[in-house]
Amino acid sequence: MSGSQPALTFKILAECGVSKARTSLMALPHHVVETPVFMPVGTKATLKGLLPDQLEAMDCQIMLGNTYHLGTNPGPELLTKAGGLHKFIGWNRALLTDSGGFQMVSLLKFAEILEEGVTFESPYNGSKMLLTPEESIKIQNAIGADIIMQLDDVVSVLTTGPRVEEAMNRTVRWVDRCLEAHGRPEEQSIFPIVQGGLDENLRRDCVKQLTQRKVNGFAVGGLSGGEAKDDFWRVVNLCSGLLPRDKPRYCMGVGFAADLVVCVALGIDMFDCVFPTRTARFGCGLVETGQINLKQKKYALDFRPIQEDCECSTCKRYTRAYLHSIVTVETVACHLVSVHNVFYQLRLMRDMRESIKIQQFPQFVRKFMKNMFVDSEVPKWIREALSAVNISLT
Amino acid sequence: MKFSVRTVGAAKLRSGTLTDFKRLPELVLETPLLLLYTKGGSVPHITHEVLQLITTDNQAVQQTLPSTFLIHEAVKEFKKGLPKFVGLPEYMTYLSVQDPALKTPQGFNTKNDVSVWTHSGRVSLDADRYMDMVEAFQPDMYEALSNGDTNEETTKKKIGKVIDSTRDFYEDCLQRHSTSSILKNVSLLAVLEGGFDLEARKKVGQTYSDAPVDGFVINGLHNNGGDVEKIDFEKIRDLIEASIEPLPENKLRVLHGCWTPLNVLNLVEMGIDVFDASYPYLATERMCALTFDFEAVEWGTEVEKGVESATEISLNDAKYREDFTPFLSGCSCLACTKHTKAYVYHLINNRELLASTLIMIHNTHHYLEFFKAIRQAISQGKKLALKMR
Repeated sequence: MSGSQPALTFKILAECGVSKARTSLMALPHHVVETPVFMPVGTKATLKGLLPDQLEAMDCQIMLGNTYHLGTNPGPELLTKAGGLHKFIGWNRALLTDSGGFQMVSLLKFAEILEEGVTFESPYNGSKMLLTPEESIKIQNAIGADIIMQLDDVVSVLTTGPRVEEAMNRTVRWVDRCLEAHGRPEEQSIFPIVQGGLDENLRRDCVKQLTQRKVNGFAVGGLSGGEAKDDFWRVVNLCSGLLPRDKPRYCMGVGFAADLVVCVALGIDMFDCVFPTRTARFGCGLVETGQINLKQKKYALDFRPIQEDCECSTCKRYTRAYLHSIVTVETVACHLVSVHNVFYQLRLMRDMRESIKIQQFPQFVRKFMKNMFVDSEVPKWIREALSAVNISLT
Repeated sequence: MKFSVRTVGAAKLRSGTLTDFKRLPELVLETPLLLLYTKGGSVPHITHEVLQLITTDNQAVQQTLPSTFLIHEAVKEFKKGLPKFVGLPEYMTYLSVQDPALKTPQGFNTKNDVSVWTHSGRVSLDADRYMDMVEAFQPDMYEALSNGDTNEETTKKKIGKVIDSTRDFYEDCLQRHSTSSILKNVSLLAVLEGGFDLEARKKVGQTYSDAPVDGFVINGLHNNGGDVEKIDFEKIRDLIEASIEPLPENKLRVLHGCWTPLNVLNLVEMGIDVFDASYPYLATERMCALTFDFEAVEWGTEVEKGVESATEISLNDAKYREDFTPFLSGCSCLACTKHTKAYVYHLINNRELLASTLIMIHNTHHYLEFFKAIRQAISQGKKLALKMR
C-alpha cells in the first residue's frame, strides 16, 4: 500500500518544559485528533442519548465503542452490511474499540482464560463460547474503528504471584496473534496493552517486548481496578517513561478530572471512561469542585447553571432548579446533564492542551487543584505524583 | 395578543395570525397552529439544542398543569415565569389544565376543585390556587380552570353539573384575571363544556359568545389520552358545530386531543384554529414513526375512497433489522437524513434513549410539516387531503 496514508500519524506540537505533559495531533483515517484527549464511551453504538450532531457541536473528536456489546448486538455481520460502525451510527469522526476481553471477564460468569483465548458461557443460551485474539480482531475489523485494541489477558490489579507474570507474557503472545490476524492495517491501528500488574519489573519487561512490535501506539492496561492511587500513578509514570516518545499513550479507564490532570502531567495522551455519562444518568453534574447531585433538595431553588462559567448548551439555558425538577423523571434531564458532563471533560482536555502550548501547564495544574480541593487538602498521592514530574503545588 | 383571521371561500376554513404578544413582540404565529407538546416543561426527549435541529421557525408550546404543578413554588421564587424557567423563553407558551396525552381519571372533580395527576400523584385545586399558579407561570395564553370530566357516556344531569362548575371557575378566573397586573397582557380563553349534549352545547356557546376573552377551548368531548384517536368523527361533528356556531368569528378556537391526521383535517374544515402535538408524542412512545402522506387538492375534489396510506410504521419490528433506509423516504428531518431504521431498531432493542429522541425528531418534524402544508393549502385556496394508496 505504498503512497497511501498510514492509519495513524502522531505529531507532537508542544511539550511542557517542566512535566512530561505534551500536546499532539494524532491523524486517524476519520479525524485528526488533538491530544491529550478524553474519549466518551458509546457502549452500544450510542453515547447515551446524545446525537452525533451534538457531540460534533461540542468538538468531541473520538468516541469509544465496546466490542463485546457490539459483537453480540447488532453483531459483526450486520455492521459489515451497514458499512461499519461509523456509518451505522452516523458518526464521521474517529472511533476506538476495546477488545471485548475486559467486559467478558467482568460481566460474564465462568469466564476462563486459556492460551487459546477467553472461554465463557453465552449469556443467551448458556453454551460454551470462545473469544480468541483472532476473533476479537475479526469483529473489530468489521466494526471498523480507527484504533482497535489487542485482546489482552486481564487479571485483577489486586492479583499477586505468578498469575500476573503469566498474564503479561500471554498478552505479549496474543498481540502477535492479533497483528497476524489484522485484516485492515491500512485503515486501523492495533494498540498493544502494557500489563504486569503493580510489579515494576513485569511492566518494564512488558514494555520492552511490546515496543519491539511494529505498532502505532500503546495502551497502559490493568489499572483503575481498585488499586491504591499511590500504586496507580507510579505504574502510569513508569510506563509513560518507558514508552517511545513519538507514539500515543492511552491509559484505559481513567476519567475523574483530577486523575486526568495527573496522568496528563505524567505523559499520557488518551483516556476513556463511562463516568461522565453514567453519573449524568443519576442526575449528577460535574463542577470544578467535583460533582453535584441535582436530585438533592437544596437545588430546588438554585437558579444558577450547573457550572457558572460553563459554555455548554445546557448551562447557557437551564438552571439547577429546573434540572432538579426533572432529573430521573424526564429523559431530557439525562440528555442535558450528559451534554454538560461530556462538555466538561472535553473542555478540561482542551484547557490542558492550550496551557501546554503556551508553557503554562504547571500553572494550570496548580489552579485546577486549588479549585478541585477548595475545602480540603490536595491528596498526598496527587502531590507526590505531580512532584515526581517537577510540579509543586505550593 | 392580537388575532387576525379570515374565512376562506364558502367553507369554514380559517387562516390567521397571532401577533402582539407582550412578552414576544416580534413573534408572528400562523393558524391553524400546532402547539408543541411538553412534559416537565420540555418537549419529551428533546432538549432545546435538539429542538433547534428540528426547526428554527417561531413556535408555540403547550405547558400543562399535570407536568408543571410540582414546580409551581420554584417558578414563583424564580419570578421570571415558566417559559424562562423551563428553558424555552422564545416560545409562545400556552397553559392548559389537563395533559392531552394523559388519560384523565374520571370522577374526581368536585364543584369547587379540579384534580390533576402529577408524576407523584393526584392534586386538586380551586380557581384561586390555579390563578396563583398562572400568575407565577406568566404564560402568554391560558385556559380558564375547567371541569371537563365528560365523554360519550356522561349523563345529561352530570353534564349540567360540569357546565355549572366550569362556569363558576371561569367567573372566578376572569375576576382574578381582570384585576391582576401581572396578567394584564396575557390572553385568557374561556372553556366550553357540554359533553355529548347538543342542546347544552348550543346554549353554552350562546352564553359565552360575548365573553371578554381572546378565544375559546372546546372541551368535554373526551378524557384525553390515546383513546381520542379512536373517536368516530361523525359522532362529534355536530357537537363541535353547536359549540362553535354562536362564537364570534374573530376569536381563537382551540381543541385539545391526539386527533388522527384525518380528523385534524376535518377539524380544520370546521374552523378550529389551534391543536396540540400529543399525537406525534404518543406515536413516539409506541416507537412508531409517522409516515402519512398529504397533498393540497382543489375544493370539491372528491376524495378517493380507498385505503389510507399507512399513518405510521412501528420501528420495533424485526423486519427492519437490516433496513438501512430512512423512516420515510424523502423526509428532510435530521433523523431521516442521517439515520436508518436498522439503527433505531438496534437502539430500541438495547433500550437506548436515543431511539426515542430520533423518533421524536422525525415525528415532530413530520407533524409540523403537516401543519405547514395545511396553512399553505388554505392560502392557495385549496385544502389539504391525505393521500390514499
